[in-house]
Amino acid sequence: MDNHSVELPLPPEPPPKALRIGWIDWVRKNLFNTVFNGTLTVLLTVGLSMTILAALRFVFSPNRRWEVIPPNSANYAVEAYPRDDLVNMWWSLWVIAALVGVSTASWGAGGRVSAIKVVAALRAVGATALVVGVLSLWSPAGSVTQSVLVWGGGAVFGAGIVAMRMLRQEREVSLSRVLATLGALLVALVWYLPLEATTTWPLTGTALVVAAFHWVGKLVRRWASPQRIKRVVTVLWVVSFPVIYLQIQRSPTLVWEEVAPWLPWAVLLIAVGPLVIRTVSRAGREQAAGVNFLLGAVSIFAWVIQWPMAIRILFLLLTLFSLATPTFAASSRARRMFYWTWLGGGLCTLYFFLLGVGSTDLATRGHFLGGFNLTVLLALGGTALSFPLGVMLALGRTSSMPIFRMLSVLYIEVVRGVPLITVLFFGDKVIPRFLPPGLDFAGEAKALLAITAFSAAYLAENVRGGLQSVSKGQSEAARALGMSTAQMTMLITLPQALRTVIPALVGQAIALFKDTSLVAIIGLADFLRVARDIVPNQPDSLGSILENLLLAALVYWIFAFSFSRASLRLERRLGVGTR
Amino acid sequence: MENGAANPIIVCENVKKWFGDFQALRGVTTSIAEGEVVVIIGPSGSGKSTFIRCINRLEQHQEGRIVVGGTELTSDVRNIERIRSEVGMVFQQFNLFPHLTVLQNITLAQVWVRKRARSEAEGRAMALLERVGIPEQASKHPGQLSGGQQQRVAIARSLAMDPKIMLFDEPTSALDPEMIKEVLEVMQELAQTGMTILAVTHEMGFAREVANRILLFDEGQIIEEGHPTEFFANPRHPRTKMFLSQILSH
Repeated sequence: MDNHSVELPLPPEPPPKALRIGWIDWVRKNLFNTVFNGTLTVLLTVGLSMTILAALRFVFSPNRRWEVIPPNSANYAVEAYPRDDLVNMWWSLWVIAALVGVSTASWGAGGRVSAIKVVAALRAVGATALVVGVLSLWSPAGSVTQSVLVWGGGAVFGAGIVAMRMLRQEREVSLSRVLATLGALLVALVWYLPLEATTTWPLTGTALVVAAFHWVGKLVRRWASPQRIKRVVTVLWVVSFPVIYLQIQRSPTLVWEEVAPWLPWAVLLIAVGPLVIRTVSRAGREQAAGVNFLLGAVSIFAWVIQWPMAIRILFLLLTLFSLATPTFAASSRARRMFYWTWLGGGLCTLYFFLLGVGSTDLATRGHFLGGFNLTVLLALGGTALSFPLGVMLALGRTSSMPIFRMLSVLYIEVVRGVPLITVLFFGDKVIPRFLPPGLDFAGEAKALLAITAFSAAYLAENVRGGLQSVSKGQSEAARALGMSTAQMTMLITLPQALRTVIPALVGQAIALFKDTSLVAIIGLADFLRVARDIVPNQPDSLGSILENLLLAALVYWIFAFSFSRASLRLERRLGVGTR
Repeated sequence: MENGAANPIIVCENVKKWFGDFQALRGVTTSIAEGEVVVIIGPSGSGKSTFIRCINRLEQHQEGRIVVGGTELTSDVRNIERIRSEVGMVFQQFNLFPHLTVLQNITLAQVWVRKRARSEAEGRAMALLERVGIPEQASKHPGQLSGGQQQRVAIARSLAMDPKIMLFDEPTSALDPEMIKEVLEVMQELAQTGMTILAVTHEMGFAREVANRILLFDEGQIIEEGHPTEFFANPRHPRTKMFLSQILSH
């Protein structure tokens, strides 16, 4: 054949127009394309309709007592927490609301969404409400809710269709405006439900706090760089958890007589810390080793002669910091960061021992938290605390040092081979035996420790998978640049490993969120226990177990589902899989 | 500076290395002078990559001595890290850090290993990107660059550490033919600045024009070495003749 060439360049052509097909064609092509599929479609439609009808009949049955749920809102939220101290709970919510407001302003600022997507979502919600409303007409009794569903759903659906017609071309709307509208709708719902005024007002306040702090966050963006704001907000989120748990929800009491003997020493130790770090970072290798050896010896000594717990922990912490100094505090800038980390860590420890341990005046039946509040705290706290522990275990297991590897493998395999319930019992009954006599953690804290210990083992295995997926070339490149093992891990391999295992980590966090319901077994009253056990035994709502279980399922689902959606967005942003 | 080593920066004496039962290096002895450009060629599996990976201890030699810049490579971690930060390495698969931008790839080790201020490190990074001809890619991620661009970033990343020696481990073998040239040009320019270079490559044109000396590896030993003109015109060892005829025949 002859060689022939094409005259270049050819002009680019527009992409082919998408073929629009009518819905009859779509149905024929997708649902009835073969006899078998057609039969399947018919059968599934019948089955699905019967299931939905049965579910609706259940929900709208005159025997259902949905009206018992709103008056029990405080029970679901906090269970036996003293009602006089409820303002503490609201403070917790407001702190979170404020952080949510600032975070949405710093991360999603100027975010825009496609108007067509918003209208389509609206239309879908309207259509669902309409269908549910119409189908529910077949169930025995009519109620106000049904007519609201039918007429409201119909109106929203209609409006959605009209709006879609008007939106000829793609337009974008501000994300914050959409969210604000959604928030306003939620507030309206709060007022529509028969809640008490002591609930409606603080809830409305929560929405206002979000809005106000969103605005504040936008205002701050004018002065500070986005990175700095994000860094500060991240730190605030981390700090907020212990503050909410220990300070707000607990209203701790400070007992001077217990604290006074060791407090000056602890403060002194925290103050001397930077000097030690400075000395170690400037000293030669032998001197640094000497200082570290001395610190280690004192830490062990402190344990042997039983100095106050706070002093022991602080010495241990100082030893760790001193050991890490050559890696993390070599340049003067890094050293300054390291000082701050030490001061922060030291003060947190101090704070914990001043207020965190010891009895609380809020304790009722050995615990002071309950309901959805406890569920969220355990899930969030368990995830947050097990993360560093799990990462350390994973690094230990992949480490080249046999001792670390052995200890990690031992921990992971032991914990993974034991049911969570066992770990919970263990935490509840065994932890007190390791504490000085007379001292005990609250049941919540013990449950949190047990959940953390359990979750860390699984997390470690997930992270290990991620570490193995990082190619060997990466560590070779890092080594070839002269990085130490610690730098290579923190800067190169770990960030890449964590990125690849986000889906697994989110799956684990969701599982953990649901597993918190097992704490009922050591006597804590989490959300599910309140719903299955406590509310159905109240005089006003006696026997309303089915309603309560359905509510619990719905609440768990809403949170787990939104979490998994959020993780999808995070994945997309970090570009997992696209590299 | 031909075969001799007036001022040796790398000295290898009888270096041996095994992978299990397989002996990858069977006693390599050579020394490389400061500013010398040495190209290592040889059939695959002949131990040439293993050899240069021993020089910054990505592989450990088991017998013999390697002295780099006056420091002997032993298992002392501090020595190893110091030598590594003086010896730049460029890999066949680039090995850029995919989670960082091009600029961060080049500044990271400067900040953490060389303890430079961030602004200084970024200044140097931009100057180096200018030198390898892709300053406009600084804010992109490695995945968005072509192979040739990635390899040039990898070279800039190594140069940012002010190495005294550069090791190239088949730097162009993973590249499309039209990108090989842009990488070779950067390497050639680097050789002209007086950098000590040790390169494993199959680019005979580069070897002929740039190298001061060529080492031919086979079965873990240097079986012939010499100045490129001499080496290509008058190969002495029969194995060299065969290798050259195979590599140059098409």
